[in-house]
Amino acid sequence: MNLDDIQNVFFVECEESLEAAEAGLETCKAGEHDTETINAIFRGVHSIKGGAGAFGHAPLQAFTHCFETLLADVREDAVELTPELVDLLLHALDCLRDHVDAAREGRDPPNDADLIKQLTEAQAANGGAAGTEGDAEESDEPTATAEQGPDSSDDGLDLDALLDDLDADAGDGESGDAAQADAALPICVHLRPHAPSMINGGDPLLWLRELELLGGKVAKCDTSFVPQLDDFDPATGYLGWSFEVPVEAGEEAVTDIFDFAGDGCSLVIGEGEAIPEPQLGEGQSDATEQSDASAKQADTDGEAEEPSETDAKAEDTDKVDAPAKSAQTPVAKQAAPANQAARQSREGQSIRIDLAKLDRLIDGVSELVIAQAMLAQRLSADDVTHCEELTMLDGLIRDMQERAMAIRAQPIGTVFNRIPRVLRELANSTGKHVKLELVGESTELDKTVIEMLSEPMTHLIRNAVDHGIESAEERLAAGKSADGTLLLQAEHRGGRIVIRIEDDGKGINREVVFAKALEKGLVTEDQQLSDEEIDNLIFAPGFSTAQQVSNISGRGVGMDVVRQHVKELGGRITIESQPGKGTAFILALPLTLAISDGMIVQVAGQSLVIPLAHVVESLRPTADQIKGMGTDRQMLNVRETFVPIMPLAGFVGSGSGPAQPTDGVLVIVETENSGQAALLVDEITDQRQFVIKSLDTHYRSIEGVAGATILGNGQVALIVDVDRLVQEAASSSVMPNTPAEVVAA
Amino acid sequence: MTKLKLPNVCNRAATEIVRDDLIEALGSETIDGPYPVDASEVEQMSHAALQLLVSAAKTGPGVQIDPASDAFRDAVKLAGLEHVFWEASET
Repeated sequence: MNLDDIQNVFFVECEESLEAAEAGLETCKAGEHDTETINAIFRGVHSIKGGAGAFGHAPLQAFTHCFETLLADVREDAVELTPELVDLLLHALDCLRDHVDAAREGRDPPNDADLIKQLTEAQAANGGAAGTEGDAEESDEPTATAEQGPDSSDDGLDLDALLDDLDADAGDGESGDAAQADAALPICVHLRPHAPSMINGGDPLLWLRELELLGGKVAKCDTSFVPQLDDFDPATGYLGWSFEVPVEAGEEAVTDIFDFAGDGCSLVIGEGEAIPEPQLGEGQSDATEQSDASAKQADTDGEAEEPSETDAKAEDTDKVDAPAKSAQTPVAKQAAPANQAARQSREGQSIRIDLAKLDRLIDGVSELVIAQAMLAQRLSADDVTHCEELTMLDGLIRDMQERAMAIRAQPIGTVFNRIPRVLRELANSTGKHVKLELVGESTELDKTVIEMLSEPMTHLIRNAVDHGIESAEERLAAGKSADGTLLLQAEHRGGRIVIRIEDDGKGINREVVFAKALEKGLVTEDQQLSDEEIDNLIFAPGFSTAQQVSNISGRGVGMDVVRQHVKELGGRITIESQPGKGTAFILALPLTLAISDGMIVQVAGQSLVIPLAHVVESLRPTADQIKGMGTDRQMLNVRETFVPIMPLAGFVGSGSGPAQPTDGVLVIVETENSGQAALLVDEITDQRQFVIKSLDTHYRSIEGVAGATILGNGQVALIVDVDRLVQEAASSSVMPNTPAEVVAA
Repeated sequence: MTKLKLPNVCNRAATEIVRDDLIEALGSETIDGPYPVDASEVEQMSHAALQLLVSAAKTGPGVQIDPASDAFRDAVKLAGLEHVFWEASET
C-alpha cells in the first residue's frame, strides 16, 4: 500500500469520523447528550486532525485544531454547551466537511476565518482553557479553573479522560487515590523515529507538530546518537524526544497520532520511561549498502555508543540523562504487540475494496445469470426439463447474486446523515427551524441507488422547507409548534424500498396549483382533475407556485428533475397531501438496479417480464369469475374480491391477444397506489432471475416500461413497470399507449 | 569565507546534497570558526535536515545558522533544538 492508498483510507475514515461527530452533535442539539457523546465528537474531530497533519493538509489541520480545542473545553465543562454553541459546532462541522472535501479533491480550502474567529470567541467568552494550554504563547491567559472544583484546578484535570485512561490501563493495580494523583501530571511521551518514517514523503516532524497541537511541549531532545558528518546517514533516525502533553488531551489522542507509524517509530508513554534507542545498526546498514561505504559502519556504531564524549558542545545540549538511554522498557515492549494485535483485529473485521472491482464482480454475476438462462433454454429445447444439476446451478447462482449484491448494500442512513446540514443551511437562509425525525436509517439498498438518491432527496427536502413548512409566526397562528417537523422514513416493502419524506406544513394548495397550471397551459379551465392529479401537476416541467425564484427552490425545474431522477432509478414518486396538515412525498425504489426476479409471460408473440415483487398469484379464470363493468371493462372475482382485468396485448401494440380472459392467463399484481389488477397474458413461460438493462441507456425512457432484459434464447424482453401501467390504465380506463415502437425496434 | 545556503525545501533528498557540501566545507583546513549557514530561504524543514545540522554542529568547528527563516526557526523550536544552534549567541 503506497502513501496515496493510505491517504485514501484516511479520507474514507474522515467520512466516518464526520458522521460520528455529526450524530453526536445532533444528539446534543436534541439535549440528549452525555459525557460519551462529547467524547465521541471530540474523537471524530481529533482523528481527522491527526491524519490531516500526517498527510500535510495544513489548513484542514489548523481548522480541526481550533475546533478540537473548543471541544476539549466543552468536554471538561470549561465551556457550557448551550444550544447556540451546538449550532456553532454544527456549523463548524459543515466547514470541516468542506475542508475534507477540499483536501481530498486538491481544491483550495474553504474560507474559515470567520468561523475560526467565532470558535475562538466562543471559547474565550466561556473562559475555555484547553486552547490556551495548547498554545505556548497564550499560556499565561486566565483559564476557567476558577469555576472548577479544587480537584480539577490549575492543571485542567479532566477526570473523564483520566477515567478512560484508567479503564484502558485496567489491571495495573493502582489505587484510585494514587491514580488521581498521577493524573495531575502531564502525559510523558517518549519517541524515537526510525528509518521507515522518513521514506515515501513521511516526516517525523509531523508527529511532533501533532503533539504540539495537543498542547505538548518538548521536554528533552536526545541528540546524543547523532554522529559527526562523516558518519551521518540521512536515512537513519538519530534524534529522540520526550514530550509532555497535557493530561486532558488524553493518551488515546497521543497514540492516535502514531496510528500510521508502524515500524517507523518507537514510542513509550509514561513518566520515568526513557526515550527508546535508535535502530542504528539496521538503518545504517541499509544506508551503508546504498553508499557502498561499509567501512563506516563500525565507526558509526562506536560513535553511537559514546556519543557525548566526542563533542563537548553536543553534550551540553543533550538533556537526556543516562537512564533515558537504557533499553526500551517492558511497558513499551508490551504496548507494541497490543497495538499490533488491535490493528490486526480491526483488519480482520473488514477490508476496503475498490468499487470498480466490485462492479466487475456484479457484472460477472449478471452474465452468469444470463448464461444460466441460456443453458436452461438449451436443455429445455432438448427436452431436458428436470435436471438436478441445473437446479443446483440455479441455487448457487442465486446465492452468489444475493451475496454479491449484499456487498454493495449500504444503509440509507448514509443519505439521511447529510440532511441535518441541509436543514441547517435552510434555517440560516429561510429562518425556518425544522426538527428532523429519522426512521429506518439502517434499511439497506444498493450503493448506486444510494448515490443517485441523494440529489432528489435533497431537493424534496428543500422544497418541503421552502414551500411546505410555514414560518414560525404562521405555524403558531395555526396552532402548531414554532419549529416544523420533517420525517424521513425508510422501509422495505414488497421487494422495494419505500422512502417517505413528510413535513407538517401547510400542505399543497390545490387551488393555487390548478390556477398556476392553467396559467402555464398545462390544463384547461373545464378539466376535472382529482386531488391526486392536481398534486402531480407540480411534477410538470417548468411548474412552480413560488412567487419568487429563490436559490432554494422555485426555479420550476426541480420537481420535474426529481421525478426524472427517481424514474431513472426505476422508481416512482407519489404525493400525499392534506391542506393544513402537511405533505408527504413517497419514493418507491428498487433495492438494486442489477438483477431481480421476474415472471416471463407471452403476449401476442412477445415476451414480457413482470417483476415477481408485484405478482400475487396467477390463474386461468373460469367464465363465472369474469364480470362486466361498463362497456369495455371486465372484473375478476377472486374470492369475492373484484380486481380489474387489464389485457397486456394492448400494451405491446397488438390486438391479437386472448379475446376473453378465459382464453389466457391472469396474473394478479399488487401495486403501490392502485391496488390489485389482473394482467391478461397468453401464457406464462418461465419464472427466473433477470438482469435489468436500462432502456434509457440503450433507447429512451418509455412510460410503463421499467427496462429490458436478455432472455435465455438471446431475445430481448421488456420489463413491465407494473405500478405505472396499472395506474395509467386505471385512470384512463384503457391500457396506456403501447410501447409497440420498442417491441418493433 | 563562503556561506552555505540551505534550499527552500530541506527534505531528505536535499539533506543528502547538503551533507556533502557540509562535509567539504567543515573538512577544509582554512576554516577558523563555525561555518556560516544561511537558512533565510527555508520554507520547509524535515527531520532528516535537522539531524544533519545537529551533526554538522558536532563536527569540527560546527555551524552558525544566520539568518534563519521563520519556518526554520519554527522547526528548530518544535524539535527543541534551539539551544543547539542559538543558545550561545542569542540567549
